[in-house]
Amino acid sequence: MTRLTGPGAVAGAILVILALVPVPALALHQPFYLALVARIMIFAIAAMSLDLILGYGGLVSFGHAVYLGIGGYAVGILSFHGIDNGFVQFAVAIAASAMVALAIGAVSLRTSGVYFIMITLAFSQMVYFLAVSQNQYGGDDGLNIRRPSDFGNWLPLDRPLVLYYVTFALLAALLFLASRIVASRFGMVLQGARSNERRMAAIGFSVFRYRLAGFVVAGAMCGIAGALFANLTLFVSPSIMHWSRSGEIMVMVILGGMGTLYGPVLGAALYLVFESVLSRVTEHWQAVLGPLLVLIVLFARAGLFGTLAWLVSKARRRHA
Amino acid sequence: MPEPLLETRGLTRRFGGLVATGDVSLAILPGELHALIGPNGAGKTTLIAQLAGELSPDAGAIFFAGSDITGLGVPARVALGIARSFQITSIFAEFTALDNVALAVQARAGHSFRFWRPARRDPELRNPARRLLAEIGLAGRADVPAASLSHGERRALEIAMVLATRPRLLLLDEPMAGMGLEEAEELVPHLAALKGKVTIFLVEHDMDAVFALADRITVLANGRVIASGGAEYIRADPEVRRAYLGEEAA
Repeated sequence: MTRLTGPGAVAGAILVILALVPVPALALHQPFYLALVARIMIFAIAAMSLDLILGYGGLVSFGHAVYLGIGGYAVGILSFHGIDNGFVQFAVAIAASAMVALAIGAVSLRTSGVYFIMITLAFSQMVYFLAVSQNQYGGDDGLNIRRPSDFGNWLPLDRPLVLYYVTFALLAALLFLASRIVASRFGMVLQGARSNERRMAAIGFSVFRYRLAGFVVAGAMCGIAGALFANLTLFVSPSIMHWSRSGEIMVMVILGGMGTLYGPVLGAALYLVFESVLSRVTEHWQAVLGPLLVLIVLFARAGLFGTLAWLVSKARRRHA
Repeated sequence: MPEPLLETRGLTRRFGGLVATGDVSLAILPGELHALIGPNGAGKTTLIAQLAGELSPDAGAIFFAGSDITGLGVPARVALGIARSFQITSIFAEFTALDNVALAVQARAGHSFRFWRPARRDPELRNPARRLLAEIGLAGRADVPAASLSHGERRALEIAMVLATRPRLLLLDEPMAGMGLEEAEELVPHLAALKGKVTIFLVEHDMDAVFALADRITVLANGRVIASGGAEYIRADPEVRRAYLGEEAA
């Protein structure tokens, strides 16, 4: 077996740690940590899916939380109408997110720069207010979900440990899928379009349809995160797709490292640990996060992931 | 006279009151290296942008291999075999030289909705890309990030990328712009080697290169064609001497 590179070692370490978290959490009778890390992994899926279009595609989408909402409401609304089958719920969550992404992308990808940021933000606000206005599904107050998605007796999602490992398996599978996608021909087109759109046209690519496809894939992946989030909290409300939530997901990507896929996992962990630990000390916890974000943007463009990978490579060279 | 590969008829493009291209009719014959010269501001870049499909003309028509392509966009024209290089080097700076050419090869290899196999280990893309890099003299620089290449190497890389799209007509917009004398002299034999294999429309300031390479030369001044013909004819034309060459002779 070949030795792992710096980024490979960090990526492997992340997965191993996530796989082992339940051991100490259960041994110490601290189920809170199980829920916290499950939440981290769910947001990691959302942030990783944004990284596909933001980090690799260069598309600053400021409405990515919409797909969390679509996925969450797919579970909530189906459950409300008595459809608890998990396969149906997740299939609808993925399909609905993909279709909304197709509609939003088809319009917004015709613009670029600030206009693109604004138009994706505007679309996400439209969906947000649409959810607020749905009084039969709780409107502003949200919708309680009676029971989690039903995948049969062999996968009871109401048991925290099962939900934890289902989330972990989906995160690992989606990370693998995304890493294949970014290295594929399709991924090269996405990255080429980020690097030099005019040159892409000059060698014969119409980048629009590739970007749209990337937008749809990212939306569908985030829809899975939304469906998992609904299962974790057994509740879904419009606040899940508030524009500030889209900002949080983007911060996770930037903290962890754009264009690294595993970086957003670290970013989600850092952000949510800060939120849950520091918010107990002070309600102004974002005053600590803000400067940290500035430092990372200024001094560590590859984010937390890039910095760790660099440290691992350096340590290895010293030992070699 | 053989049927032209590309022909423009009465091509006109205005920017406000300025006529950048005025009633330009020219014919590029298959296999020839046709050079376009003219003083700064003559409308050379505007003309090439219309041929490539980046700008649409206000009047007139463009024919490629006998069919009207005036309404086609850039990717559609590339698919027909019209490819261009840019005056200001335009490459993928984050990619290696080999990645740059491989992406251009990929553009010609059907659709890219392929999500699974790693593109960087695909011999269908890598082998032709390596061959093209070798042809243009960059074989030893394949794995260097494009951003770290010298200016001359980047221009050569750009030509390799354009060739990767297997063009029938190559639009070269001042390939020697910004090059040192030595680099420019190195590029001339590479261009000479392309001659005959592909039809070339060359916009260039470097007169030595133009007179060394071109089969025919068209001279543009103030957006209009003032002369078109072989090198000797152009050298002797009094209007050309006045409008353009005179600047250098004086």
